[in-house]
Amino acid sequence: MLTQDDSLPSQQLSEPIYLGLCEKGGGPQLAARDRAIVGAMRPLSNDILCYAAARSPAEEPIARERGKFPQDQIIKIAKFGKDINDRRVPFVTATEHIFTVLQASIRSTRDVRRGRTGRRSTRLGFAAGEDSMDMADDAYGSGDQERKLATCRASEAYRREIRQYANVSPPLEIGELQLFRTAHSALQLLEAIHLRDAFTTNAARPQWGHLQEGLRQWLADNYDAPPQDEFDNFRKSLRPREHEKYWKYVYQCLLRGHFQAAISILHRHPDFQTPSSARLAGGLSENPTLVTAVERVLSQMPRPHQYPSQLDFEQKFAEWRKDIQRWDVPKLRAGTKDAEQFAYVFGILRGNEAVIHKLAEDWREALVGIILFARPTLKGHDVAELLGKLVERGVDYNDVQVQIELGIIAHEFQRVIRFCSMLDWWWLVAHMTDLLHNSGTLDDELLGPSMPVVPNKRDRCSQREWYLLNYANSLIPNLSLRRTALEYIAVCPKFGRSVLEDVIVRMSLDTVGEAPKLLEFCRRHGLDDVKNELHRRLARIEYRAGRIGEAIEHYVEARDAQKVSGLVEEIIDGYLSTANMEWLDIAGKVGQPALEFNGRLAFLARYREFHELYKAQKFREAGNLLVEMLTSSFRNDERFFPKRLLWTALLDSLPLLDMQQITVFGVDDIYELMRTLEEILTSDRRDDYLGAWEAANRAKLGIGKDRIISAEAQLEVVREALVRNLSRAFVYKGEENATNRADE
Amino acid sequence: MNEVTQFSAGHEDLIHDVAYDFYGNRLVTCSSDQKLKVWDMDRQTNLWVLNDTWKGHDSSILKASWAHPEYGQVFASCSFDRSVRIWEEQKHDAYTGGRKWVEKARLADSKGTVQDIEFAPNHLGLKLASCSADGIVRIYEAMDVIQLSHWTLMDEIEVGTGSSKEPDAHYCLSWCPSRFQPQMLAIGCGKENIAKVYRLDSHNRWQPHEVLGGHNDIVTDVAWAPNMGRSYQLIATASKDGHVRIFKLTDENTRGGAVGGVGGWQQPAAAAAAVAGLTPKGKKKFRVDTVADFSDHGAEVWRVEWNVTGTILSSSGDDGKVRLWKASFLDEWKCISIISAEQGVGDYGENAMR
Repeated sequence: MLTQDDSLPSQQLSEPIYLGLCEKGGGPQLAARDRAIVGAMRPLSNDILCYAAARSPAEEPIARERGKFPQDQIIKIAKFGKDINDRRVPFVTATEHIFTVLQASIRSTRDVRRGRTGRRSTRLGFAAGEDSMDMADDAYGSGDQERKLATCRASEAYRREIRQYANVSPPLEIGELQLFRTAHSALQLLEAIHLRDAFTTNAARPQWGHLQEGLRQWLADNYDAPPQDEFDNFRKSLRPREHEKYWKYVYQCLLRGHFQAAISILHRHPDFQTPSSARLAGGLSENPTLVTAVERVLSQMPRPHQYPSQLDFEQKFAEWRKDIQRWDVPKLRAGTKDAEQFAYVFGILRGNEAVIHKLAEDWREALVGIILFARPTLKGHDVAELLGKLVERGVDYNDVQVQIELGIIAHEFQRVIRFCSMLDWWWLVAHMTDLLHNSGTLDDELLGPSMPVVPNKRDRCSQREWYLLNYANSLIPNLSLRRTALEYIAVCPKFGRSVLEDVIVRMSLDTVGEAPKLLEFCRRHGLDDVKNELHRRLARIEYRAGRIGEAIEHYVEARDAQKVSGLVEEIIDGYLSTANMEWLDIAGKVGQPALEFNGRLAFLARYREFHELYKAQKFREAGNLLVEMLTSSFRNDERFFPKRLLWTALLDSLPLLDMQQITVFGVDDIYELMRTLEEILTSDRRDDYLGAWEAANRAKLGIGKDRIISAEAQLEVVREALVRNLSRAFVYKGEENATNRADE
Repeated sequence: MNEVTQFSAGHEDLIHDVAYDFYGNRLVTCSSDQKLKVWDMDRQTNLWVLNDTWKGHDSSILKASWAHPEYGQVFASCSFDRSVRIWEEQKHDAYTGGRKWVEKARLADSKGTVQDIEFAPNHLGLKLASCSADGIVRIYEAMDVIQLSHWTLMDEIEVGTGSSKEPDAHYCLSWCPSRFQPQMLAIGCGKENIAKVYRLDSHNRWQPHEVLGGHNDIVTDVAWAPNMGRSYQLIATASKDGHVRIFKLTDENTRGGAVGGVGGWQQPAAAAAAVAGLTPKGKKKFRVDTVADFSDHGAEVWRVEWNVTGTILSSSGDDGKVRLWKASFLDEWKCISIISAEQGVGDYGENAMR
């Protein structure tokens, strides 16, 4: 049960940050000097900007004596949260990958359970790591066990990354190292007690649930005792037996399951007989010492993984324990000076819990000793029953690591989360909560009832989501981790979408290559509104840089028809007002989606094609295309052909009409051109058509009369050219018909 | 953690406001010296570099607010000279007389000092709200978002009545940032010692709805939190009574929590209803609860501001401290950081005011 809301890391409630804008104790006096300290948080950052602001405005500049202080113009920028250390970045990105794969594994497990995939999935997302259990690859079992299996493998992968990070060079600071050690220990203990039983239902290789190996490994990996250098010194001594810690080391090795080490220490005992000296003494069975007896007992000790069923193991273990009695006899004890110490050794081997508690260095060693010798078949869910006795000898409850471990053993997962959150590191609490959630161990329903005032649950997300969002928020200030943060936010079912929508749009697109990645992320997660907004922003950037074509493409992607039309009209007006042919490049660059999106763009592309054909001296094709475009203007297709270009298009036909060597236009084509001319001449907007060049610029210049007079002169030229070409076309058509008849 | 850097704004009088742009890569500072200064973050050196400085108004400049970047590099400033001015950065090749920033519009409808301005959230278009000492909140909209020169006064909301219309009255405002709600503004109503939520009703008229009460003095600042998918709204107020308050506005008609959304996400029911066009415009009232009331400053509180994810609230007070507040998992608001203007132990900074 959650009985206390400690979800905010206590470390954040740290000492005040002092800006040094006034003397100590002078804060409250700022007001008397007409100043107030004001803060402004920088978006997506841990920075807060603070300055001494005027409390009241002055009507005239420096109208009254405010007094001048150097700090008045000083703007301070303080960090209210820790930025992610650059050294941690590879760890953060690597663990995000593990996290993402775990979520995919869980989703696929859920799909299997819902029968969506039709066929049961037997492979989970995680490739077997060097220290993962190979039996996991072909795991069969219930969905819950598959989830646990995936979770366990993710936890192992996290630990691998922790170990890699902890071994970086140059070495980490002590505090940083301790933080990661705490995480490693907590994850490994969680695996040992709550997750590894998922491996025990492997149909191909039946196993039964036991804790021995997991706990022994946890202790060995996380709590090195005795320290290696101390142990080496001891082993090098000439008379180890005289060493004050000789027996302590023997007990420790036994309780920790380091049997080979225990035997090697006992071999340095004076009672030990080498095989050759034993033969001289008449053989081991004839005259054994306690050292050889312990060695014999340990070598015959049954190990759970050697037996397919718990029953087989229990039977063998009972026989083995019975066999110990054979060696622990007065006759042998009489032959040694260390009878008491050997009695303790046999006490451990016989699983005497009182002896184990007495000899263990701490509660962790006692726990492993009991699981090894006293209760080898204890299950994860029963370990909590040992706790009372384990903590009797006293534990340091102020130690967060201890609290986390005790919480895991006691199945008090809210306690685990609470103390994980006390570390000033959102990574551990976020990933621990996620592992607990995904393994089915964390029950959100346990939250709340014990709280005096519980806010409406519908307003809140799950604990997992809350911590994941906070972890993601802690990554965002680091530019290189922003997209990593987005991946975490994206898995949050309740608030993820909204948070992404507000966070992504705040991300600057200045960094090269960032925009396509963000757009891809939006596409992947169906964030259409955000994607459109990004495109609109990119369009604005391109527009400011004068890259109109690129701006149009972005507006097309954003489905912003109004802006696309605005820019296309701007291009056309630019062409009309300056005769600048830059639009040819733009029309050539825009892609098919843009052409389909906006009719005017499609027109520009066709108009460009006309210019290209003319340039390539494909005059007939160019003429046909021009007539086709002009014809479209009579289909009331305003969205395709801009009417203000009619006169320009007609002028474009003039060089084709003037060609002497070839006849570009047929009779029908000439009629269409004449129709265009008629449209211009009979229109009440005749001046607008003819003065279109100026019309595009009318906001600045107005329609110039000179231009219209000049256009009227050109009009005559066009009219004459059309009449001349019509007669040529008739003659050409007549000759063609005659040729055809002759052929017939 | 206690890393503090600094730069000098170099104004000739006291600073009134410093505003980050949408991304936090630009700053504008404004001062009683009538000048505006724009600063750019130099990514290489991590230092703030002056972009431009110019005389922006004819009297003290009180506040600045950046428009959404979709509309370009645009911000507004307001002043004791009763005007609001819109500024836009020019393209590099279009600097006029060496000036990078040009005045695109001057909004001079106010009959008193313009005390607060804020651009509306992007989904409402290019709109700007201002409030003035004449007790009127004015809402403008840019008719041409490219040219930015034509701003239409869309609405005037008279928020000052009686004593609150006195010359030294103080008004403040904040837009509701949610896309899934009708247009709303939280407005600090001067000497009435309250803030009110105004909502655009079905007849396109701004009407007062909820009252954010409990203040014993003038509300000096109001900040509407980014919604982040919550089924409720949060509004923070700062007051001269020395308190920071957080109000929770719950739409009691949107029961049922979350409904299915795109890509496995859930959407709040209110959001889903709004998307489906079901939200009654301006009819319902929110239930208002005060979820936090802090008197830690123990002196007048001048400013409240949310971070962009609506998870951290900052408050600035006359005790010379900026305090940061954050909600725990169970929505218990806690102070997570204190930034003091004072010197720390053993800190004898040369800039300290003695």
